[in-house]
Parts: sequence; C-alpha cells; structure tokens
Amino acid sequence: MSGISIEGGQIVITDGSRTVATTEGTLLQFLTDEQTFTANINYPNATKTRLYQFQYQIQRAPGNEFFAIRIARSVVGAKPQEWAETVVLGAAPAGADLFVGRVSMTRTIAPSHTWMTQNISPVIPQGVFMPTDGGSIIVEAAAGIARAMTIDVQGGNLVARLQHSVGPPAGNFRQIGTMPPEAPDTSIPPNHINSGAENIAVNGAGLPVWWTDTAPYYLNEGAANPFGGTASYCNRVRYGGSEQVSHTDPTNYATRYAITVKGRFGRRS
Amino acid sequence: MEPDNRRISDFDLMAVVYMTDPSTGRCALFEEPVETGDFNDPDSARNAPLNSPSTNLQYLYFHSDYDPMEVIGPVDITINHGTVPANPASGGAVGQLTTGVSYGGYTTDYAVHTHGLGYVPDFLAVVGSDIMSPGYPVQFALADGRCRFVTFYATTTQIRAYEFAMQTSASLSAISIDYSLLILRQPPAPTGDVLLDSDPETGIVTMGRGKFSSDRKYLQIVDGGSPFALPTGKTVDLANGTFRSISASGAVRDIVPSSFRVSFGAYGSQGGPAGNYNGSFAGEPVIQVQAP
Repeated sequence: MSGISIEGGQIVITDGSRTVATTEGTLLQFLTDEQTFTANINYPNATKTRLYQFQYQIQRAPGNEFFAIRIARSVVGAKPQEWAETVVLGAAPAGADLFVGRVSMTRTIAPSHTWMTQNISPVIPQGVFMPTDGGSIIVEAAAGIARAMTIDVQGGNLVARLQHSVGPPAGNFRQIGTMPPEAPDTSIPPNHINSGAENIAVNGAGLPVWWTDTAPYYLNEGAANPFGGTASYCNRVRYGGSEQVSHTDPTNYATRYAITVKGRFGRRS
Repeated sequence: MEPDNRRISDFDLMAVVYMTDPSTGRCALFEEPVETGDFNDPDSARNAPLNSPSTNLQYLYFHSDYDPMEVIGPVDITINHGTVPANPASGGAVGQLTTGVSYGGYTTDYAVHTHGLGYVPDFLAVVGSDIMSPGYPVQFALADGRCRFVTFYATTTQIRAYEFAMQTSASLSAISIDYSLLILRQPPAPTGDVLLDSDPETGIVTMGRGKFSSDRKYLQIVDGGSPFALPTGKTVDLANGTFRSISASGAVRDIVPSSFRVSFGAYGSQGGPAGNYNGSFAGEPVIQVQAP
C-alpha cells in the first residue's frame, strides 16, 4: 500500500512495501540549503632538535706512521610532538548537530625539504570535492609524521579539527667503540686500528629528518700523521670540538591547505 | 492554491503534525515544540517549526525550505586495486628503520561511476557497512606498515577514486574491494502550487511543490533495514607520529606496527621507542542511516 497515513501517532509515507519517510523513532535526516565556507588551515613545523653523528678510525703502521679518518654530520631532528587546533569555519544554525557535504583541499604551502629522504605528499587528491560528513580525513602520512582533519559541528559552529603528530624519537644516542678517540698503542694486527662513534641528541632525542652529504653539515676526510696527533685531529670534529660541523636548520615542515567546504546542516534527534 | 491551512495530525497524541501555509508557500512535517497556541494558526507557538524552521530544526522531519536528501543508489561498484610495488625504504644510513617504510610514491586514480547530473553532487561512499572518509585505509599489512588509502571524489560528471599508498620494501598485493555509492541529488525546482498531494491511484505522496515525492528515495534514520554507519565526529586520532583509524562500525586500524623503531647514526644500531600508535582513541558517536 502506498500513501500517507498515521500509525500509532506517527506519520508514515510509503511506496508499496517501502517506507519512504516516517516520524517513528529517530528523525529523518534533515538538512538546510547548501552553504559554503572557505579557510586556510595550517599544520605546524616540526619541533626541532640537532642530532650529531661522529665516527673515526685511526690506523697505526710500523715506524709510528698513523692515518686517521674522521666523519661528522649534523642532522635536523624532529622531536616528538602532539599538536591540535580547532578552526571555526562558520556558525551552524541553532539546533544543528550534523553537517553533510563535500570539501576541496589544495596544498598551498608544501614542506621545504624532504623528510627522511622522502617527500611528504598529501594522501588525498588535490582541488577536488571529497565527501565530508563527520569522520576524519587523513591528510598527510609518512614515516614518523601524520596530519588529519575532522569537519563537524562543535559548540554551535562548523569547525575543522586539526591534528599533527610526530614521533617516535630515534634511539642509538650513545658511544660505540673506543671513545674518546685515541691512537692504537701498537702496529701489530689486529690491535693496530682503533675506531669509534658517538651519536648525540643535542636538544633532546628526535627523528633524523633531514641531512646532507655536503658542507657545512658534513665532513668526511682523512689525514696521515696530522699535526697535533691523530686523536686530537679526530676529537676536533666531535660535537663541541673546535672544528665541529656547523648547523643551520633550513627546513620548515609546516603546510597549508586552502579548503572549500560546501554542504548542509541537519539535526538528529 | 490551497484553499486553507491544512493540518494532519493524530489528535490523540498531538505531537507530530503535517501542516501547510498557503500564505508563505511553506509546508512542513514536524513535532510540536509546545502544546500551546491555536492549532490552525500557522504562526502559533505550537506550529512555529512551519514558519520559523531555522530556529526549530530539532522538531522538523520535512520542510519545504530545505533539502530532504534524495538518494540515487546505492550504486554498487567493485574496484580491482592493483599491486602496490615495493619501494626502497627511507632513512638510509643516518636514520635506520626497523621496518623499511617509504611513502607517497604510489598513486592512481579510477573512474568508478558516471552520474550525469551536470553538477558536483554530495555523496556517501560505503565499504562494508561503513561510510568512508577521505584517505580511508582499505588495506594494510601490519608486518611493516604498508597501506592503501582510498578517497572517493566527485566531478560534474563522475565519481572517481583516488588511491595513495604508503610503500615499504615489500609489495602490497592486488585486491578487489566492493563499494557502494549513495549519491545525493539536489531537490528539483518547485513546480505548481500543491503543497501536499496523495495520488489516489498511484498512492504517490508529494510535498512542497514537488520537492518530496514518495516514489524517490531519501536518506533517513530509521530502525531496521540494512543501515550504513555515518560518523558524526572523529574517526581518526593521531599519536606518536601515526594514526588510529576507527571505522564507523567500530573496526580499529593501527597501521604502524610496534616493531617500527628508528636508530640514529651508522656504526651500530639501537632502535628508539616503539613507533606504533600509543593513544587511547575509542571512536566518537555514529548514526545509522539508510535510503530504503
């Protein structure tokens, strides 16, 4: 049977055996005319630390002949970071607690550098309309970093809830081998070589996210019988040494998206 | 033109009312917010949802000013997702990873449905019984964190699917996944001046000058049937540099394994803390919707 009827105090509209609409139980989805909101949303730069890597090897040959190799690298690290921000897109009608529509996102500011040798790319397509109906959008995801956005009705407003997370910190911040550097006291194998390494988290442990094999961030050289001795030669490029590799952080991992949200508000009972 | 205000209700309960107001051209199906005022006065307090809908949203079931969310579908589709190839891991000698995670190198795009509406429609994409949000993880391997994300999007002619994969040193196998699309058609332009009609021959009920017609499907929240879970809040939470995705039906997806650790520097390897999601997100409320 088709038509409109009152059943048990509720108005029911049917089309054959199909209930097209009923006021029984919860309300019908109910949404207003389409509205448009635009905003720029910003995810922050990572919280940085400096990570310092040092390695050396000193070999002694008969006749008090010495050869030393020293390697030092200063690396941009990203410390563990949990960040959240809510961006108000606009006011919702009184009583509305649902929003169903679509969102377009276009990244207008990209990370300045690679992150662990890879690009941080958007997970979602750019400049096209995707459904947004509550639920969260995974915006960026890579090893050790993730960014998300949720569009929903909170406190009488349509909002974009943003999240950004970085972690975990790396390990292996320690000394390995013979440290501090010292020259072997014999030229007889296998004890004619000393080597060691030292990994330092200068401002706290973090993920190594950017580095280069070029100066001033990196040094890899060797010398035979250097002036002052091989131990001093190697020590000078350890962290805090007089010839340590320099470090200026050129990276900025902040990103920005221009978003357009179109949709309708509604109410669930 | 309707000759008079028309009011349909169950006078025993006096709660749910269908009413028209020819003077404003409005009609509405609503619950009385109060039990005071003239039954037949469209501007009385008990009939306020009719002519003041924006401040009485919570009492409305249908209003001629608004969009009742007509649904085309469900349109059932299958995507044959291809193999995600392996890719060299990130990190290298400076940041050694216990699992060879790379990312971002693999994307592809599928045309999945031609809707022919001539405008960019709202729509809901469903996998299983869950309504998907953009960047939805549909396949992953917890062994090392490789993952396939799918985002449906609309153009003026098509619904398309965009795929992004987080790659590792192992490939992610090809897979066929069934999806459904609920495409929301914009309401038709008002025609005629009939605010409520029930055709005695066909039984088709129309309301709001043709905006609602019972021979179409509308998104609604009713008990029973085969509903889809529509999230009304967060479905993803971030912690420790990764995410937890909880589908509307409650399935939890933690993509990054606890074995994922990072070791700084060459010359020995000693991973740091585990890199899996370490928050406590348990999901936010959902509602069950359908278009029977």
